Amino acid sequence: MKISKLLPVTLALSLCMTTATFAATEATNSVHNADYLLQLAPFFDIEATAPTKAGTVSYDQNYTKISIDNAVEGSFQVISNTNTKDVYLYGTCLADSEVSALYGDFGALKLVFTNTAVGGNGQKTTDTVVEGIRKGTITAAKGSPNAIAFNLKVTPSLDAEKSLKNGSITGVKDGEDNVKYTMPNGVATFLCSVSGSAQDDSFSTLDTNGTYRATIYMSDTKYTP
Amino acid sequence: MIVHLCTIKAFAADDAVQTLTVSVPPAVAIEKTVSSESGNITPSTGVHPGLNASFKLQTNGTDNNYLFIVGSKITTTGGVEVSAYSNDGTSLLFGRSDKEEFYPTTEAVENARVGGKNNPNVIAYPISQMNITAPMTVEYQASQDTDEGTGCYVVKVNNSKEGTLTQIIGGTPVAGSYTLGNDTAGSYKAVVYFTAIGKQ
Repeated sequence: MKISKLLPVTLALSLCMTTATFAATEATNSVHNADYLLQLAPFFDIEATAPTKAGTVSYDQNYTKISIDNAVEGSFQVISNTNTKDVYLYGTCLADSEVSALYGDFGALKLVFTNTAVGGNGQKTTDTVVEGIRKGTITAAKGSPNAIAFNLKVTPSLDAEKSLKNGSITGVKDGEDNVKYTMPNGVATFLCSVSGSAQDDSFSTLDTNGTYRATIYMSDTKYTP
Repeated sequence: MIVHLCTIKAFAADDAVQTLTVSVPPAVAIEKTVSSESGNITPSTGVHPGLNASFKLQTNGTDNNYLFIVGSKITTTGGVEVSAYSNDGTSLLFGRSDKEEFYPTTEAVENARVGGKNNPNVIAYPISQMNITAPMTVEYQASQDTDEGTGCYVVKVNNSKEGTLTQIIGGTPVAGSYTLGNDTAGSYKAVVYFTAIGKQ
């Protein structure tokens, strides 16, 4: 066979092979994505969820012991959508100025209440008195006029429907003035209850009649007096 | 006397014929034309401004040549990708995507897929619009297999050569899928893809 006849045969074979490749039905340039991306910002909110329940007290005939008849309660609802969030509990009362009122160990917290009367017959207590109760330097009765300390119990809980499953809240005393709670994402309630009898020799006949008050706070910022 | 110095040779017939044929194969081109693919969620409500994407489809093929699907995927624990459509195809699920430790579980995705309320780090938003220019059609087929599982939208080209697919994702979360405490702060992602699979 002449060379001039071999070339067209080769060309024909080549075309056939090319045609076979084209015959595939694979799509080309056929996938495109829409990568939808949304940003959910951190959210944090604290609210006092129920009106604080005021309490009444009773004392013995010698006016040496006093106890709260019905627990004084307040609660906070904390909502957070971050995986861990620190919140701080602290308390204040009014003396010469507004001073820190929370003390004691975690799990055995105490809160100082002071007479709300302003002026008149020496009913107002002093910063020194409140600090004395908190630091334990007042050991004898009549050492803390118009300031009385009671136990403070804090019970945190997570809303099971709106919180991380199997999550829990941990707490630790953070310095002298704060309790730090670390919570997972979710909705938490912190029930604060004051009850029982006066603590640390803080009650005596020098505590004049009237309304005694302490204020508790919950915040994501640590309290610094 | 005439003398011829050249001789005329006789040639035998020697024709060759080549018939050249070229097959034009079915082909597909898909292009994303417009899109708004990102936004911010308002934490208190779960609402975002809305998302959308449009794809231009061109093909000389037919529905016999290709399976045109609009699939979706969401990444779950361990990096497993599953379909991001709800079971009825009416909503698209978004999963937390910025940290692997916070990827949603497959259980959470399954819960959101059926409209449940126990689906941490998964948020469902309605597919408020999913259409394609006529005569092409698009519909959700719950039994259609994809790489991510069953369920996707299927486009029929109906012999048309060109069409535009439009998808709009509504901004208000499907009831029960968003919970402020359960869905943690971060990035939430869903991928929607448009592809043509050749039928052999």
